[in-house]
Amino acid sequence: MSSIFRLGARTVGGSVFRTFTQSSYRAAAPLAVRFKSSPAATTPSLTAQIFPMDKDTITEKDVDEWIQSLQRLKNGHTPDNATEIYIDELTRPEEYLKQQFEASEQQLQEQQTFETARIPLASIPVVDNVVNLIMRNGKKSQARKIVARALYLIYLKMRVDPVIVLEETLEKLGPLTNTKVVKTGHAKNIIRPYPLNERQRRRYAILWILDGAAKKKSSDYSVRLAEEIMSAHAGKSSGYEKKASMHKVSIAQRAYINI
Amino acid sequence: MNWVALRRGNFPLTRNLHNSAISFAKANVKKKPLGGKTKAKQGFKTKNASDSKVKKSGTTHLVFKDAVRRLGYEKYAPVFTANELAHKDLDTRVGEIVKYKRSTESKLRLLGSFKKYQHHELFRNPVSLISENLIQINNRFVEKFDDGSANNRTILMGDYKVGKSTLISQTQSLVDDKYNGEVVLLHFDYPERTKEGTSDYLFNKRREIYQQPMFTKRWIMKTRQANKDIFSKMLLSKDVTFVTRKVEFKYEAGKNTLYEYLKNCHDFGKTESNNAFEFFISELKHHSATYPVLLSIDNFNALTTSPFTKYKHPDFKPIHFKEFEVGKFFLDYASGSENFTKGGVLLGESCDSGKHDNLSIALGLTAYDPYRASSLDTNLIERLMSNGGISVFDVQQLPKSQIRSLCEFYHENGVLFMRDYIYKDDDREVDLSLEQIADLNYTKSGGNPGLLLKHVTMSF
Repeated sequence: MSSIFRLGARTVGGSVFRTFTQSSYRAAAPLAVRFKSSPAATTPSLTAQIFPMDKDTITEKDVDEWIQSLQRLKNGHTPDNATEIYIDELTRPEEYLKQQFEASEQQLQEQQTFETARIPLASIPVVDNVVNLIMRNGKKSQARKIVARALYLIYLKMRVDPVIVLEETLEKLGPLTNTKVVKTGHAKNIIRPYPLNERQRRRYAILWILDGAAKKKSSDYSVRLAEEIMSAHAGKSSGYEKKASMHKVSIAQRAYINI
Repeated sequence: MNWVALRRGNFPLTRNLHNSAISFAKANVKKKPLGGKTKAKQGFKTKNASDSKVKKSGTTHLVFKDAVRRLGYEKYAPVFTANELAHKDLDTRVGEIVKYKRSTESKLRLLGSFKKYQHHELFRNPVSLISENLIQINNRFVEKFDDGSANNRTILMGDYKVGKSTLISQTQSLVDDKYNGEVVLLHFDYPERTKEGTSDYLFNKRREIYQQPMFTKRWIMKTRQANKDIFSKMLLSKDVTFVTRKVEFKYEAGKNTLYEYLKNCHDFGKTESNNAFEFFISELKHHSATYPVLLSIDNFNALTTSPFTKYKHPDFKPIHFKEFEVGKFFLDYASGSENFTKGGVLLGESCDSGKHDNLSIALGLTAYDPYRASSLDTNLIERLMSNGGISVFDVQQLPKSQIRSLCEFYHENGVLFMRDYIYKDDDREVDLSLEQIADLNYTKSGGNPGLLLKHVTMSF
């Protein structure tokens, strides 16, 4: 069997030659690209780019004219003919190097249409809140993955929008009030109830869900979280007891509400 | 204090405070147990296990990928109506979403063609889209079954999640429909199992080949179940004798069927040398003129990327996959050195198994670099290049129109939710059109069906 692998490179007079058989041609064909020896197309110099030559051939007469013009310019002569102006411009290439973008009318019209357009958020705020509370050591993508998988499991089981399930659960589980100890300066301190805003309520609910999820069987965080959210949605989470105890204290201390 | 007297054991009569308690203490008399002698407990006293044990609640102990596959979530999915995938008039049905024929679906389930994490749990039955890729594979592969498997070898290559494994399932379905179920489907969904060291192995001295009884037995069992009807029609071409549970079976050529042989012959799983697998393949080969054979091997590049297995020779050198009975079978048919009279070999690439030049050189996609020859398996490459080589099928991304039809289907079946656009100031844009959502998903996925499904279901 002919083989490309037995036919390596061999050196003849300092040049490397390769021999190929018919069967190996297919595999070897791209070698032409890999061993490309043709030089890359030379790019013209900066001066040539800025001042392209307007003549096809340069004669001795042209060179003499150039030298004479250069000498005259060196002596402080003001450029008056075409050659002198050309050489004088060569000393100031900065203006030609400036790259200015000019938008077309179509582009300007497009810009006007997009000026008023608003960019929606990349993610849902409630989900972000859960993600941020799960995140440890700044590993946000890992936290996102956990939450996304949990919501996927919720969808599979309940066949409704999991974001709505999550929102409803947090709404149900979140406490309305909390209490704080206010020092009066006398012998007795006051325990004063205060209302929680939406973000605070949501935070309590999420933390209680995460506590409940820790007690589930699975070794996978997303599975535990999904099960806890679903049981909380069904009203079976231990967070409801915590919520009730917070409310109980607040109701007991309702006399101290600061209105 | 007189330390010398103390050392001699002459204690002073006046008691000191520190040793008074000891002198008055009651002698520690151990109570004798009532029921005779008891063994003294040895070792350290540990914490009481019942105190520290936390009762765990929850329905499953499974991890995510196993949970979605094994908890039967598809039964919660709504019933949908879709046409079945059929070979007839395939060209006119591009962009249509179809389900598999019931008989084919059960076969593919047995063969393991529906793989893990393909999101089949979203729907009541597995669904797929008739794409240009399927039309092409039908023209280039399915229609060439009469040429023989040695001349009909194709490998599916493409981006991550572009649908290579799904295309294999669709091809199996097409072939099954084209030949009205009279086709043998041989499928290896995860050939890495032959080399990862999870199965037992023994050396067959007569054939000078290693065998993997446990792997072979399991594969034969599911292949037998999936191809029950066709194997029941195949009469044996040779007489065969074997012993199962101390009962001798003598099967005669032209009388007993291959199904009977596979059902009663337990040699595949015996931990001793045998030629049962060889006999099975020779029978398939014998019947391949009447009953075509589709051999599909997914994740084929896992074999070529690292050809040496985790198994070891007696001199502790790793064994090449081709030295195994099943590995040799892969290579013989993938290289075309063995041939089914009617049939084809369909290989699939996996993006999770890593890239290696062994396969790309064998397919003519990369130039052979003699300076890197030591890192290449040249013998394997030559084998794969022989007999005209394997043709490459590049699986393409879906166009926007097909992404739109997929989005529409997902929306109808409650998988895609038309959520509002939420802005920073908590303002919302409601009543989005399906066109907007399809545009958004096309931009996100770039026409990749796997990524589309991921964005639709797991992006929040």
